[in-house]
Amino acid sequence: MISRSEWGACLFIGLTELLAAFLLKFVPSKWLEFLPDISDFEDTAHQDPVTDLYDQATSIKVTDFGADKEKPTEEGEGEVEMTGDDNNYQQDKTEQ
Amino acid sequence: MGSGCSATKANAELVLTENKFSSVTAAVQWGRNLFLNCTRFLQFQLTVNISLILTIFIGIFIFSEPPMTAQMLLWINLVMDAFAAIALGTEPPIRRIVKGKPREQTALLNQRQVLRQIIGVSLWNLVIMLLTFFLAGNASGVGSFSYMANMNIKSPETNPDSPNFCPPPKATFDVSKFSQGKMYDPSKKKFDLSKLPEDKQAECKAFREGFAKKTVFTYVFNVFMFLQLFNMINCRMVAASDTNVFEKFFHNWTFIIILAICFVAQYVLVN
Repeated sequence: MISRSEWGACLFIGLTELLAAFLLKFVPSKWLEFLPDISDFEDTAHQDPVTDLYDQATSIKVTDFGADKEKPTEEGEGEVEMTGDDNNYQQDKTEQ
Repeated sequence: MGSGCSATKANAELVLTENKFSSVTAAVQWGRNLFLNCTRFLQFQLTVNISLILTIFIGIFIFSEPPMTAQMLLWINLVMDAFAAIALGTEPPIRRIVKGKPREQTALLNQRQVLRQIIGVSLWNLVIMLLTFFLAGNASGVGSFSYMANMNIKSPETNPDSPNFCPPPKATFDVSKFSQGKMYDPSKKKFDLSKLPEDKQAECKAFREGFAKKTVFTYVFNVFMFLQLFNMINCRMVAASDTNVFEKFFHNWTFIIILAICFVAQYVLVN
Protein backbone atom coordinates (compact mmCIF):
# COMPACT_ATOMS: atom_id res chain seq x y z
CA MET A 1 0.00 0.00 0.00
CA ILE A 2 1.16 3.46 -0.84
CA SER A 3 -0.21 6.39 1.12
CA ARG A 4 -1.92 9.35 -0.49
CA SER A 5 1.09 11.61 -0.03
CA GLU A 6 3.34 9.00 -1.64
CA TRP A 7 1.00 8.81 -4.61
CA GLY A 8 1.29 12.57 -4.87
CA ALA A 9 5.07 12.34 -4.76
CA CYS A 10 5.12 9.72 -7.54
CA LEU A 11 2.79 11.87 -9.66
CA PHE A 12 4.94 14.95 -9.10
CA ILE A 13 8.10 13.06 -10.09
CA GLY A 14 6.31 11.81 -13.21
CA LEU A 15 5.35 15.37 -14.10
CA THR A 16 9.02 16.36 -14.28
CA GLU A 17 9.10 14.37 -17.52
CA LEU A 18 7.02 17.08 -19.18
CA LEU A 19 9.43 19.75 -18.02
CA ALA A 20 12.50 17.79 -19.13
CA ALA A 21 11.06 17.15 -22.59
CA PHE A 22 10.01 20.79 -22.88
CA LEU A 23 13.51 22.02 -22.04
CA LEU A 24 15.06 19.57 -24.47
CA LYS A 25 13.15 21.23 -27.31
CA PHE A 26 15.28 24.34 -26.80
CA VAL A 27 18.58 22.56 -27.28
CA PRO A 28 20.27 24.38 -30.19
CA SER A 29 20.42 22.33 -33.36
CA LYS A 30 24.19 22.94 -33.50
CA TRP A 31 24.57 20.77 -30.42
CA LEU A 32 22.90 17.91 -32.21
CA GLU A 33 25.39 17.63 -35.02
CA PHE A 34 27.17 14.77 -33.31
CA LEU A 35 24.02 12.67 -33.63
CA PRO A 36 23.86 10.47 -36.72
CA ASP A 37 21.62 11.71 -39.51
CA ILE A 38 19.43 8.75 -40.29
CA SER A 39 17.43 10.39 -43.04
CA ASP A 40 19.15 8.40 -45.80
CA PHE A 41 19.00 5.11 -43.97
CA GLU A 42 17.06 3.36 -46.71
CA ASP A 43 19.60 4.41 -49.33
CA THR A 44 22.59 3.11 -47.43
CA ALA A 45 21.02 -0.07 -46.13
CA HIS A 46 22.14 -2.09 -49.13
CA GLN A 47 25.78 -1.27 -48.39
CA ASP A 48 25.73 -3.53 -45.41
CA PRO A 49 28.13 -6.47 -46.03
CA VAL A 50 25.63 -9.04 -44.76
CA THR A 51 22.85 -7.88 -47.06
CA ASP A 52 25.38 -7.60 -49.92
CA LEU A 53 26.30 -11.23 -49.42
CA TYR A 54 22.63 -12.18 -49.29
CA ASP A 55 21.96 -10.28 -52.50
CA GLN A 56 24.84 -12.03 -54.23
CA ALA A 57 23.75 -15.43 -52.98
CA THR A 58 20.16 -14.94 -54.12
CA SER A 59 21.24 -13.61 -57.51
CA ILE A 60 22.99 -16.87 -58.47
CA LYS A 61 20.93 -18.66 -61.12
CA VAL A 62 20.96 -22.39 -61.57
CA THR A 63 20.58 -22.98 -65.28
CA ASP A 64 21.62 -26.58 -66.09
CA PHE A 65 20.36 -28.27 -63.05
CA GLY A 66 21.41 -31.93 -63.07
CA ALA A 67 23.27 -31.80 -66.40
CA ASP A 68 26.74 -32.30 -64.94
CA LYS A 69 25.62 -34.61 -62.21
CA GLU A 70 28.13 -37.37 -61.71
CA LYS A 71 27.36 -40.75 -60.27
CA PRO A 72 28.82 -41.08 -56.78
CA THR A 73 31.78 -43.40 -56.52
CA GLU A 74 31.96 -46.14 -53.95
CA GLU A 75 34.64 -44.36 -51.99
CA GLY A 76 33.59 -41.09 -50.49
CA GLU A 77 30.00 -41.52 -51.53
CA GLY A 78 28.02 -38.42 -50.89
CA GLU A 79 31.07 -36.42 -49.89
CA VAL A 80 31.51 -32.95 -51.24
CA GLU A 81 35.00 -31.79 -52.05
CA MET A 82 35.77 -28.47 -50.48
CA THR A 83 37.68 -26.32 -52.90
CA GLY A 84 38.39 -23.33 -50.75
CA ASP A 85 38.13 -21.70 -47.43
CA ASP A 86 34.58 -20.73 -46.53
CA ASN A 87 35.76 -17.38 -45.35
CA ASN A 88 37.14 -16.62 -48.78
CA TYR A 89 33.87 -17.28 -50.54
CA GLN A 90 33.55 -13.68 -51.56
CA GLN A 91 37.10 -13.55 -52.87
CA ASP A 92 36.78 -16.84 -54.78
CA LYS A 93 33.64 -15.67 -56.42
CA THR A 94 35.20 -12.45 -57.68
CA GLU A 95 38.25 -14.31 -58.97
CA GLN A 96 36.01 -16.51 -61.05
CA MET B 1 -10.66 14.90 -61.68
CA GLY B 2 -12.93 11.92 -61.56
CA SER B 3 -15.21 13.57 -64.09
CA GLY B 4 -12.38 13.84 -66.67
CA CYS B 5 -12.23 11.71 -69.78
CA SER B 6 -10.96 8.17 -69.42
CA ALA B 7 -7.82 8.79 -71.54
CA THR B 8 -6.76 11.61 -69.22
CA LYS B 9 -7.45 9.53 -66.15
CA ALA B 10 -5.50 6.60 -67.56
CA ASN B 11 -2.43 8.80 -68.08
CA ALA B 12 -2.74 10.81 -64.87
CA GLU B 13 -0.53 10.12 -61.90
CA LEU B 14 -3.24 11.16 -59.49
CA VAL B 15 -7.02 11.02 -59.99
CA LEU B 16 -9.33 12.96 -57.69
CA THR B 17 -12.43 10.80 -57.66
CA GLU B 18 -14.40 13.29 -55.55
CA ASN B 19 -14.10 16.17 -58.05
CA LYS B 20 -12.90 18.47 -55.26
CA PHE B 21 -9.53 20.12 -54.96
CA SER B 22 -9.94 20.17 -51.18
CA SER B 23 -9.39 16.41 -51.31
CA VAL B 24 -5.73 17.09 -52.08
CA THR B 25 -5.33 19.06 -48.84
CA ALA B 26 -7.07 16.33 -46.89
CA ALA B 27 -4.93 13.65 -48.51
CA VAL B 28 -1.73 15.55 -47.71
CA GLN B 29 -2.94 16.15 -44.14
CA TRP B 30 -3.69 12.50 -43.48
CA GLY B 31 -0.62 11.28 -45.34
CA ARG B 32 1.69 13.46 -43.28
CA ASN B 33 -0.20 12.60 -40.14
CA LEU B 34 0.34 8.90 -40.76
CA PHE B 35 4.06 9.50 -40.87
CA LEU B 36 3.90 11.63 -37.73
CA ASN B 37 1.90 8.99 -35.87
CA CYS B 38 4.57 6.41 -36.67
CA THR B 39 7.19 8.84 -35.38
CA ARG B 40 5.18 9.51 -32.21
CA PHE B 41 4.87 5.84 -31.43
CA LEU B 42 8.50 5.10 -32.28
CA GLN B 43 9.72 7.93 -30.07
CA PHE B 44 7.62 6.69 -27.17
CA GLN B 45 8.53 3.06 -27.58
CA LEU B 46 12.25 3.65 -27.96
CA THR B 47 12.31 5.92 -24.92
CA VAL B 48 10.50 3.37 -22.76
CA ASN B 49 12.69 0.53 -24.02
CA ILE B 50 15.98 2.33 -23.39
CA SER B 51 14.84 3.56 -19.97
CA LEU B 52 13.58 0.14 -18.94
CA ILE B 53 16.72 -1.69 -20.04
CA LEU B 54 18.95 0.78 -18.20
CA THR B 55 16.77 0.70 -15.07
CA ILE B 56 16.68 -3.08 -14.90
CA PHE B 57 20.37 -3.46 -15.74
CA ILE B 58 21.58 -1.00 -13.12
CA GLY B 59 18.96 -2.20 -10.62
CA ILE B 60 20.30 -5.74 -10.79
CA PHE B 61 23.73 -4.51 -9.70
CA ILE B 62 22.29 -2.45 -6.83
CA PHE B 63 19.64 -4.82 -5.47
CA SER B 64 21.19 -8.11 -6.57
CA GLU B 65 17.90 -8.87 -8.31
CA PRO B 66 15.75 -7.13 -10.97
CA PRO B 67 13.90 -4.18 -9.40
CA MET B 68 10.73 -5.08 -11.28
CA THR B 69 8.86 -8.36 -11.22
CA ALA B 70 7.50 -10.21 -14.26
CA GLN B 71 3.98 -8.89 -13.62
CA MET B 72 5.25 -5.31 -13.51
CA LEU B 73 7.13 -5.81 -16.77
CA LEU B 74 4.04 -7.30 -18.41
CA TRP B 75 2.01 -4.25 -17.46
CA ILE B 76 4.72 -1.90 -18.75
CA ASN B 77 4.86 -3.91 -21.96
CA LEU B 78 1.09 -3.69 -22.38
CA VAL B 79 1.16 0.09 -21.96
CA MET B 80 4.25 0.46 -24.13
CA ASP B 81 2.97 -1.65 -27.04
CA ALA B 82 -0.78 -1.95 -27.19
CA PHE B 83 -2.10 1.11 -25.38
CA ALA B 84 0.51 3.49 -26.76
CA ALA B 85 -0.08 2.24 -30.30
CA ILE B 86 -3.81 2.88 -29.98
CA ALA B 87 -3.38 6.23 -28.25
CA LEU B 88 -0.64 7.70 -30.42
CA GLY B 89 -1.65 5.98 -33.65
CA THR B 90 -5.09 7.58 -33.61
CA GLU B 91 -3.95 11.19 -33.32
CA PRO B 92 -5.89 13.15 -35.96
CA PRO B 93 -4.01 15.70 -38.07
CA ILE B 94 -3.69 19.30 -36.98
CA ARG B 95 -4.72 21.79 -39.64
CA ARG B 96 -1.31 23.50 -39.81
CA ILE B 97 0.37 20.21 -40.70
CA VAL B 98 0.02 21.08 -44.43
CA LYS B 99 2.04 24.27 -44.05
CA GLY B 100 5.43 22.64 -43.60
CA LYS B 101 7.74 21.46 -46.33
CA PRO B 102 7.27 17.90 -47.58
CA ARG B 103 9.56 15.44 -45.89
CA GLU B 104 12.30 13.67 -47.76
CA GLN B 105 11.22 10.47 -49.44
CA THR B 106 13.71 8.41 -47.47
CA ALA B 107 13.30 10.08 -44.08
CA LEU B 108 12.51 7.54 -41.38
CA LEU B 109 12.04 9.79 -38.38
CA ASN B 110 12.23 13.51 -37.91
CA GLN B 111 15.93 12.85 -37.68
CA ARG B 112 17.89 14.60 -35.01
CA GLN B 113 15.00 16.25 -33.17
CA VAL B 114 13.47 12.86 -32.42
CA LEU B 115 16.82 11.32 -31.51
CA ARG B 116 17.46 14.25 -29.18
CA GLN B 117 14.16 13.63 -27.39
CA ILE B 118 14.75 9.87 -27.18
CA ILE B 119 18.26 10.20 -25.75
CA GLY B 120 17.50 13.19 -23.53
CA VAL B 121 14.31 11.82 -22.01
CA SER B 122 15.87 8.38 -21.50
CA LEU B 123 18.76 9.96 -19.61
CA TRP B 124 16.34 11.99 -17.51
CA ASN B 125 14.41 8.80 -16.71
CA LEU B 126 17.64 7.12 -15.70
CA VAL B 127 18.56 9.95 -13.32
CA ILE B 128 15.11 9.86 -11.71
CA MET B 129 15.18 6.08 -11.36
CA LEU B 130 18.64 6.15 -9.76
CA LEU B 131 17.44 8.76 -7.27
CA THR B 132 14.42 6.58 -6.55
CA PHE B 133 16.67 3.57 -5.95
CA PHE B 134 18.67 5.38 -3.32
CA LEU B 135 16.12 7.72 -1.74
CA ALA B 136 13.09 5.42 -1.57
CA GLY B 137 14.73 3.46 1.25
CA ASN B 138 14.00 6.33 3.66
CA ALA B 139 10.36 6.41 2.66
CA SER B 140 10.02 2.66 3.10
CA GLY B 141 10.04 3.03 6.88
CA VAL B 142 13.32 1.33 7.70
CA GLY B 143 15.65 4.17 6.85
CA SER B 144 18.60 2.23 5.59
CA PHE B 145 18.28 -1.39 4.66
CA SER B 146 20.44 -4.05 3.15
CA TYR B 147 20.02 -4.12 -0.60
CA MET B 148 20.61 -7.84 -0.42
CA ALA B 149 17.47 -8.29 1.72
CA ASN B 150 15.19 -11.19 0.87
CA MET B 151 11.69 -10.00 0.00
CA ASN B 152 10.10 -13.41 0.47
CA ILE B 153 10.55 -13.72 4.23
CA LYS B 154 7.13 -13.85 5.88
CA SER B 155 6.39 -12.07 9.12
CA PRO B 156 7.66 -14.26 11.98
CA GLU B 157 4.76 -13.31 14.25
CA THR B 158 1.62 -11.65 12.90
CA ASN B 159 -0.43 -11.54 16.08
CA PRO B 160 -0.14 -7.99 17.46
CA ASP B 161 -0.93 -9.21 20.97
CA SER B 162 1.98 -11.58 21.00
CA PRO B 163 5.17 -10.41 22.77
CA ASN B 164 7.08 -11.69 19.73
CA PHE B 165 5.06 -9.59 17.29
CA CYS B 166 7.23 -8.25 14.46
CA PRO B 167 5.73 -5.11 12.93
CA PRO B 168 6.33 -4.29 9.23
CA PRO B 169 8.42 -1.15 8.67
CA LYS B 170 5.48 0.79 7.33
CA ALA B 171 2.81 0.59 10.01
CA THR B 172 -0.25 -0.64 8.15
CA PHE B 173 -2.21 -0.85 11.38
CA ASP B 174 -3.28 1.45 14.17
CA VAL B 175 -0.08 2.28 16.02
CA SER B 176 -2.02 3.82 18.91
CA LYS B 177 -2.87 0.27 19.97
CA PHE B 178 0.81 -0.24 20.56
CA SER B 179 1.46 2.92 22.45
CA GLN B 180 0.99 0.98 25.66
CA GLY B 181 3.21 -1.79 24.45
CA LYS B 182 6.90 -2.03 25.00
CA MET B 183 8.05 -1.89 21.39
CA TYR B 184 6.47 1.31 20.10
CA ASP B 185 8.25 4.52 20.96
CA PRO B 186 5.76 7.41 20.41
CA SER B 187 8.46 10.08 20.70
CA LYS B 188 10.46 8.58 17.83
CA LYS B 189 7.35 7.26 16.12
CA LYS B 190 8.93 3.92 15.49
CA PHE B 191 9.22 0.45 16.90
CA ASP B 192 12.14 -0.36 19.13
CA LEU B 193 13.07 -3.89 18.14
CA SER B 194 15.63 -4.22 20.92
CA LYS B 195 12.72 -4.87 23.25
CA LEU B 196 11.92 -8.07 21.43
CA PRO B 197 13.31 -11.35 22.80
CA GLU B 198 16.92 -11.67 21.63
CA ASP B 199 16.37 -14.77 19.55
CA LYS B 200 13.59 -13.01 17.59
CA GLN B 201 15.43 -9.78 16.82
CA ALA B 202 17.48 -10.99 13.86
CA GLU B 203 14.50 -12.74 12.33
CA CYS B 204 12.34 -9.64 12.69
CA LYS B 205 15.08 -7.39 11.26
CA ALA B 206 15.40 -9.61 8.18
CA PHE B 207 11.64 -9.53 7.64
CA ARG B 208 11.47 -5.76 7.97
CA GLU B 209 14.32 -5.24 5.51
CA GLY B 210 12.67 -7.57 3.02
CA PHE B 211 9.41 -5.71 3.45
CA ALA B 212 11.17 -2.38 2.95
CA LYS B 213 12.80 -3.67 -0.22
CA LYS B 214 9.42 -4.71 -1.54
CA THR B 215 8.12 -1.20 -0.80
CA VAL B 216 11.05 0.36 -2.64
CA PHE B 217 10.31 -1.81 -5.67
CA THR B 218 6.72 -0.59 -5.59
CA TYR B 219 7.98 3.01 -5.61
CA VAL B 220 10.33 2.19 -8.49
CA PHE B 221 7.49 0.67 -10.50
CA ASN B 222 5.11 3.52 -9.73
CA VAL B 223 7.59 6.26 -10.53
CA PHE B 224 8.63 4.55 -13.76
CA MET B 225 5.04 4.17 -14.89
CA PHE B 226 4.18 7.80 -14.15
CA LEU B 227 7.26 8.95 -16.03
CA GLN B 228 6.17 6.92 -19.04
CA LEU B 229 2.53 8.01 -18.91
CA PHE B 230 3.60 11.65 -18.98
CA ASN B 231 6.09 10.77 -21.67
CA MET B 232 3.16 9.54 -23.73
CA ILE B 233 1.75 13.08 -23.58
CA ASN B 234 5.18 14.40 -24.64
CA CYS B 235 5.22 12.18 -27.67
CA ARG B 236 2.03 13.74 -29.06
CA MET B 237 4.15 16.54 -30.50
CA VAL B 238 7.25 15.42 -32.32
CA ALA B 239 7.96 18.22 -34.79
CA ALA B 240 10.96 20.42 -34.08
CA SER B 241 8.88 23.55 -33.51
CA ASP B 242 6.16 21.92 -31.40
CA THR B 243 6.72 22.93 -27.79
CA ASN B 244 3.14 22.83 -26.51
CA VAL B 245 2.37 19.14 -25.98
CA PHE B 246 -1.16 19.98 -24.82
CA GLU B 247 -2.13 21.60 -28.12
CA LYS B 248 -5.48 20.20 -29.31
CA PHE B 249 -5.34 17.82 -26.38
CA PHE B 250 -9.08 17.15 -26.36
CA HIS B 251 -9.51 16.44 -30.04
CA ASN B 252 -8.45 12.82 -29.60
CA TRP B 253 -10.70 11.16 -27.06
CA THR B 254 -9.10 7.78 -27.65
CA PHE B 255 -5.84 9.15 -26.26
CA ILE B 256 -7.53 10.60 -23.19
CA ILE B 257 -9.50 7.42 -22.49
CA ILE B 258 -6.38 5.26 -22.84
CA LEU B 259 -4.45 7.59 -20.54
CA ALA B 260 -7.25 7.51 -17.96
CA ILE B 261 -7.40 3.70 -18.13
CA CYS B 262 -3.65 3.53 -17.54
CA PHE B 263 -3.81 5.82 -14.49
CA VAL B 264 -6.74 3.94 -12.95
CA ALA B 265 -5.22 0.52 -13.68
CA GLN B 266 -1.93 1.67 -12.17
CA TYR B 267 -3.71 2.67 -8.97
CA VAL B 268 -5.56 -0.66 -8.81
CA LEU B 269 -2.42 -2.68 -9.54
CA VAL B 270 -0.34 -0.99 -6.86
CA ASN B 271 -3.01 -1.01 -4.17
